[in-house]
Amino acid sequence: MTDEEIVALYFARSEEAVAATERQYGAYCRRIARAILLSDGDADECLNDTLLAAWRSIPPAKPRSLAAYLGRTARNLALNRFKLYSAQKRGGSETALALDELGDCVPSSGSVEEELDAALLSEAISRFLRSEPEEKRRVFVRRYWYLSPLEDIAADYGMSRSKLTSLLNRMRKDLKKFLEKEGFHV
Amino acid sequence: MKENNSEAMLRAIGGIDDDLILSAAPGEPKPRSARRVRFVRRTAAVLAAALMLSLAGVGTAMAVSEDVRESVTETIKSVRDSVLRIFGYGDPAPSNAADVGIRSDRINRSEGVEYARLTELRNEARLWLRGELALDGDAAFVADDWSDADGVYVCLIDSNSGRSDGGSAFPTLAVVEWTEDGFVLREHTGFSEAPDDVAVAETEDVTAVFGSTEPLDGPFAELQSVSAECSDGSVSIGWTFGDGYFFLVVWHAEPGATLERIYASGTLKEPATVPRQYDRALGRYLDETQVTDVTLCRTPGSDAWQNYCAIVDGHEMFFEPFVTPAP
Repeated sequence: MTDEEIVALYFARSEEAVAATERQYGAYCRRIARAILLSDGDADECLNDTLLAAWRSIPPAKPRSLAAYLGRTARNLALNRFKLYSAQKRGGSETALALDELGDCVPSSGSVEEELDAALLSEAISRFLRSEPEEKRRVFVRRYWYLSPLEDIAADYGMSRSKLTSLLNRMRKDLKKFLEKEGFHV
Repeated sequence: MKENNSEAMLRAIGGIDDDLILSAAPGEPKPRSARRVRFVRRTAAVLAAALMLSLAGVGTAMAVSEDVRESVTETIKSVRDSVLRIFGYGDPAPSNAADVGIRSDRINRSEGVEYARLTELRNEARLWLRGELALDGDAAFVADDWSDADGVYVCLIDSNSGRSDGGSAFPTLAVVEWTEDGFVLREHTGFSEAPDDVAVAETEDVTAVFGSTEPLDGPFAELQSVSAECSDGSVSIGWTFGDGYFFLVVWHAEPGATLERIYASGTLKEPATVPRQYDRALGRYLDETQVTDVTLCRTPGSDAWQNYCAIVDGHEMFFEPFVTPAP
C-alpha cells in the first residue's frame, strides 16, 4: 500500500489506516523508539502512542512522506518519555551519550530553548547537512536522529570507531561554527 | 543549562528535512560516491607515499642511524609496493615534492612534530598518509584522515622545538604499529634530542607534542600507557616504548590550546597507598589499599609526577586530593 493510499484511509477515517500504518511502518517506528528508550515494552507503548498521534493529526496533516512523519513523531514521543524517565535513571544510553556529545555544537548563547526558534534551527541544520558530503551527512543523521550506537554506524559505513568519532567530532564543531555564522547566537 | 541546550539541539535535529532522515535510515545502501572517493584517496595516497619515501630518505640521512633508516625505508617501500602492485601503477615516485604538485607552503609551521602514517586497512594495502614533514625547513603537507585505527606509523620527531638556539634537526624516528592491542614499537632511535617539553604545531589537527626527554624509569617499573588532556578538553594519543620513552600527539585541539595534564599508567616499583574513601558507585567505603598499578599525572614543564588514581576491584580509587567526600 502506498503512502497516498494510507493517508487516504486516514482522511476517510477508516480504522484500517492504523492497521496499515502499523504493518508498513510499525517496525521502523519501534526501532527508533527502542534506540532511545532501550526497552521493548517502552518502545511498544511508544509505537501505540505514535499510531494514536497519527490518527489524531491526519487530517488535517497530510504528510508527503509517512515514514518521515511517523518516524519523527515516534522520536519525539520517545524523547519525551526518555526525559520523564531520566530523572529516575540516567546515563549509559545512546540518547544520554548523544545529548552529551551535542553539547559541543550548541551555539554560544544563553539558552537555545529560550532564544531560538526550533523550526528555524532545524532548517539551518538541514542546510548545514546539505553542504556536507553525502556519507558524512548520513552518518550524522544516523547518530543524532536515529541515535544509533557508534559501533553499528561504524560497521554499516565500513569505518573504524575512532574514525567515526573523529568525523562526528569535527562535524559538531563545524555545525557550531555554521550556526553561529547563521546568527544563532547572542 | 548545557543539558537543556543539548536536548533542544537533539529536538531541532529531529526537525530536519524528510529526505535527510530517510536517506540515512538504518539499512539504506551507502552512497555510491563513497567508493569513488576512496579510490581518489588511494590514488593520492600512492603519490603521497612516494613523496614520503623521497623526503624520509633525505631527512633521515642526516642524523638517524643507518640501521633504523634502512628499516624505515624498507617499511615504507613494502607498503608502497603493495599499493602499487594492487592498483597497477608503475613507478610514480617523484624526485621531489614539486613533481606531485605539493608545495611546501607550510614550511616551519611545525616546530615539534613531523610524522607520517602508513596504514594497511582490511587486508587491502591501502595507504593513507597524513602529516607534516619539516626536516630542516623542508616541509610538505599531505592531508588525509589519519584517525583510522589500524596501521603502521612512521614518526619523525624534530627536536628543534624547545632549543634556544633553534638549532638544526636531530630527527627522532620511530616505526610503530597501531594494533588492536595498542601501539607496538617496531623501531626507534631514542629520544636523546627529543623536545624539551611541549611544542605547539599550528596545524589544523595536530596541535601539540610532548616527548619524554629521558626514559620514564622514575616511579614506574613498567610504563603501560600515556595520554593527555588539553585546555579545551581535547585528548591525545600517547605512544609508549618498552624502555620508558614515550611521546604524545594531541590533535583536534583548538588553536592556542595548551597541554594541561599528562597521565601515565603502569606498574610502580614501590606500592603506594590509596586512602580509605567513599565509593559512590558501590555506595560504601573502600578501605585503605596498597596498590602498584596506578595512573599518575603531571603538568607539562614539571618533572614531578603526582599520584592520581588506581583501579581497585574494578573501581577507580583516587589518591588525595581526589578523595571523594563522604555524602
